[in-house]
Amino acid sequence: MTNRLTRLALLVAVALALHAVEAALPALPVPGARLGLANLATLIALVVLGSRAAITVAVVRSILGSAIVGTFLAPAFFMSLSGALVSAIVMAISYRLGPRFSLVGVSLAGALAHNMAQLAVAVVLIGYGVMAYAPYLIVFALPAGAVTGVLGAIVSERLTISLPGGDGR
Amino acid sequence: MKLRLRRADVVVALAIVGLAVVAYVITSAGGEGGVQAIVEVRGEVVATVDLRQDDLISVPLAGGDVAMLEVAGGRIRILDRDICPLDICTHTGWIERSGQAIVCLPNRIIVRIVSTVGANTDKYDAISGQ
Repeated sequence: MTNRLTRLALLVAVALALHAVEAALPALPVPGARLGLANLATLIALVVLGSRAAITVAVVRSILGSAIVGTFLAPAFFMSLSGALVSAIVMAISYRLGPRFSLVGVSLAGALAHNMAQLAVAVVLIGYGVMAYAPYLIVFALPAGAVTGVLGAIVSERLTISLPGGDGR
Repeated sequence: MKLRLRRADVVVALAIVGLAVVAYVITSAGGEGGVQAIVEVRGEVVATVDLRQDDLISVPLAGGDVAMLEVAGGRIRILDRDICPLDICTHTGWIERSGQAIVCLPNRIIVRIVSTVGANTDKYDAISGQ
């Protein structure tokens, strides 16, 4: 139990660091588009600790991360939180669907869910006009999800060797 | 490294591309030069701008600040007045086609271009034989 809690805390810390790094990177041409590096920690939590841990890492990272970056309770926070939560849930479901998905597919599904959830919240917070960004935001899920997925596959494979507990898929 | 793509991975990737194309077709329907821009702040329409007339428009914001919009040559942009931290809205630059939009998330401003039916019909007296 302590072991599990420690790993969970470690993954939240990694996620926070990635969240802060990502916020410091120059903005991409599509507003709101992110590489989703912090999602890497969610993905690894999913493999090593399971679905609930993954959702926990995503939500806690989003709340604490926005406090660090300074967007807590701003519109960007609600977009980040909804994106993180929905994508963690979708990734957990697709991971459980079994070997038809590799981690890249899991991550792609998560990235798509993330961007769709953000878009939905943005429509509510800002107005229907943000739909003009929908095609760009959706297509951006492809490189973002692929990068996170490949990194996740590499890292989790090595982690499950040193931290037994996941199935190493 | 056993990083092999599985069938579901490809399905998800194709779904993303498909969705993006659908979204593009929907949002850029009638993507010719628009003649009107709608300015929304916090979900409320605060101005409807005629793009055929060069103009400078000030839009009051929540914090007492003002966003400046410039209309010139059928295009519109948000001028850089340091109204938000990342300046994504000013970096978006000019927009002119219907379906295009400038979004300033911190101030919750949306400027989007719409093609109004009334404005387009004055090119034709009537359309027949469709």
